[in-house]
Amino acid sequence: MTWVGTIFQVGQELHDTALNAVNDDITAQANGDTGAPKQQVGSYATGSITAAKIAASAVVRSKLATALTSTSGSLSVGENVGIILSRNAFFPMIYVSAQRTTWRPHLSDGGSGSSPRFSLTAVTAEASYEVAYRYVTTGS
Amino acid sequence: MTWTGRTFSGTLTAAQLTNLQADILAKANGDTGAPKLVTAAIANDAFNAARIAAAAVGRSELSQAAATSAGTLATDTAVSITLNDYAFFPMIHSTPNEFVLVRSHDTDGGSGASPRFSLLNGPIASTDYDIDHLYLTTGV
Repeated sequence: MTWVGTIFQVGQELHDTALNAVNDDITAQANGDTGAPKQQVGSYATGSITAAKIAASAVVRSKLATALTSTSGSLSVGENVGIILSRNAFFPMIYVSAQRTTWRPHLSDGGSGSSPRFSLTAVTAEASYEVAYRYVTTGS
Repeated sequence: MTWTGRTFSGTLTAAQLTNLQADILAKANGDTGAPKLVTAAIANDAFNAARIAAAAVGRSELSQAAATSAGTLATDTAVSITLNDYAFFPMIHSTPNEFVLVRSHDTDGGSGASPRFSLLNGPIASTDYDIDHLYLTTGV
């Protein structure tokens, strides 16, 4: 039903239709009917939106707070460079100009999965490298 | 506007009834004093993709867990590393790292739901390795 939004006037005789309209407006607001005020962010109790309230597959890519970043440089023969990614990094784009550059573990322990990392070593030739990736940010 | 929340007694006035009508709007807006919507008042699946704002889901909104795999690699041996489904890029560490290569896994995981790789140690020295990663859980 359409939202009514009754404003009562002084001296107005009160009929059941007026009060029923107020009552119906409660339902109209809950149903999001035409003209009814929308539920605003501040009206939800903190933490009230639990997983059950979020529809399946509703959190698509565009809903994720992400950012892109990259690191690049050059490697001399035999040189190893450690690459430290941001927390919650997706699989990176790893490019090197010489195919004999190898992918290795990082020499420093990051301590947890919150500090993802690996390293690159130029084995037989100088190489330039670029590592670019997307990661989930802290959001807004 | 501020929530009024009157308890009526005696003769009704136009102002009282108009306030009652206005409180529906105040509740929708989350105005000061208005009751907040709690979990039980929200329909399951009410929040579909259209309702979730872009970039609203950040790290703290994700249900994550951490996992680790560590050990010692003898010379000329490999270790297969299988990550959890929905794994973020791992922290790959070894000490020393100059003899260890990150390589493909020797068992087909069948799909991206079983992410994996392996570490191969060379003939020079044994090495300690540590693989930590974060992954999305099935939630609560």
